[in-house]
Amino acid sequence: MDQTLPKEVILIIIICIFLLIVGVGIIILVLVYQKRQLQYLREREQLKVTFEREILESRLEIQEQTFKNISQEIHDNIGQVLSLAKLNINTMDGNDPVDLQEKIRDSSELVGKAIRDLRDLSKSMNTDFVAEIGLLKAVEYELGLLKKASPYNTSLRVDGMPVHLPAQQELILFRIFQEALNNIIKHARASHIAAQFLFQPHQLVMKLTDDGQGFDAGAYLAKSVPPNSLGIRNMQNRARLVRADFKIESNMPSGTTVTVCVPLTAKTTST
Amino acid sequence: MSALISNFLEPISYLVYALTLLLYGRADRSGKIKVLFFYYALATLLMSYASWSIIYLKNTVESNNNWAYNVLYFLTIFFLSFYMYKTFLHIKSKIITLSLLLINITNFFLNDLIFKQRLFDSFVSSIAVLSLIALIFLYFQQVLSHVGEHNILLTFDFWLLSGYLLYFLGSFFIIMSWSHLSAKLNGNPTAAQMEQFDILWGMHNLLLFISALVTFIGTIWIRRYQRKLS
Repeated sequence: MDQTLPKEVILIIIICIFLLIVGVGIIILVLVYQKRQLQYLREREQLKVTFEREILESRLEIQEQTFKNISQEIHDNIGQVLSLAKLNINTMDGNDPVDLQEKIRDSSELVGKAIRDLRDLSKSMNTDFVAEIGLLKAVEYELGLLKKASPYNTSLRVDGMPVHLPAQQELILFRIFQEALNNIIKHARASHIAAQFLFQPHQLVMKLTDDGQGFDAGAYLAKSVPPNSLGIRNMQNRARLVRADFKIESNMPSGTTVTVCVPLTAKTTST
Repeated sequence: MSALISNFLEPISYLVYALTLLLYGRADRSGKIKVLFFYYALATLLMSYASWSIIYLKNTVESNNNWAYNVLYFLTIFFLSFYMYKTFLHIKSKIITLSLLLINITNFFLNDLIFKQRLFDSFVSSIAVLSLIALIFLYFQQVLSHVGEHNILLTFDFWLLSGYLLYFLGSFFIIMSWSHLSAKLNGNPTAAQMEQFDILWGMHNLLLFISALVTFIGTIWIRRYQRKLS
């Protein structure tokens, strides 16, 4: 009998077993990889759903904020102007033509102002106004409203070449801006609010600074955000949705700065 | 027991495949399943003949059942290529399938029909096995690049081709070295050598049976899940 045959047979059997194990390994690898891919797809889908829900929430919050502004504007401004116009009309004296002329002119100016204010208000009643007018204009409008209706001194500075971000991204950023603004109004006791937009080649830096009493941000952020501080948590969550870095810096009593850095993608367009 | 494994496990495995396809075919009446069932029915008959012929053939160069194996490998590459062609989604994969089929048909006609190869043709068979392994990898690549919402374990193709991978990859060396080992015996094998050959072919049959079982278990799994859903 040929003595080399058993060795060859054993070798072939060993190779076969090895290849069988390789085959099992390949199948397990395919299964694991497919499972991970599936998990990744599900997570992406979940993120999309969360993003859409946040967008909807942002829209509703902006709408709510807008209605508050409108109510305040009607009460504090248009109401006052129209009351003044009414007072003018009521006190018109037909026997004094000079006074009558003056009061008619004053009333006409007051009604004209009321009409202009109403026109401005009607613009902001559209919930998609951020998408329509763009982030910068919306911020400018919001700061203008605040300046007009309160003792705050506001300023807006834009550096670099402004670009339009995707509409949903702008909506989220505007909502972060509104939330930060609300925090200043509620807690900061500030007199000056400064917004700054810095358009860099790869990112947009949005900063909102106040000169208020500030707070111990270091100690605050070292702890997990308390449940009642939904404002900051919302801002953080929303910044994450648009892949932005969110930073809050504050030192008592030198005011607070909220910074959001958003990476600019190919979807952005020059204004 | 060893005689059963080395001589009769092969037709049994093909029968398991045929029955599995019959079972799965009740839910999926697509053309490719019917064609695959036809192939396994044919393979069962062919291998049953090959197994029973061992009893009355002397297994010499002039009189043996090797032709049945040569025909089986031709049928295997032909029908499985058809199945893979129908399974692939991309035109590139379909072209590769057709090209490999063409190479294998040419190879078979040249070696087994024109040169009348009377021994088991390791060269033709191992080229066919390599081609099928390549097609199975192409299928896995397709699975990984088209991850959907469905569970891959509920896909019949996945179970079938996983079984094929185990069989073809595992038995590749046996098939490739068979001619070389047969040539060493010079047509006069001793009883001990025959026993070693039986062990080797038994290993091949065992791999085929494992692959048939994998497909069968997969089919049962899929049907149970479908029943739960309905």
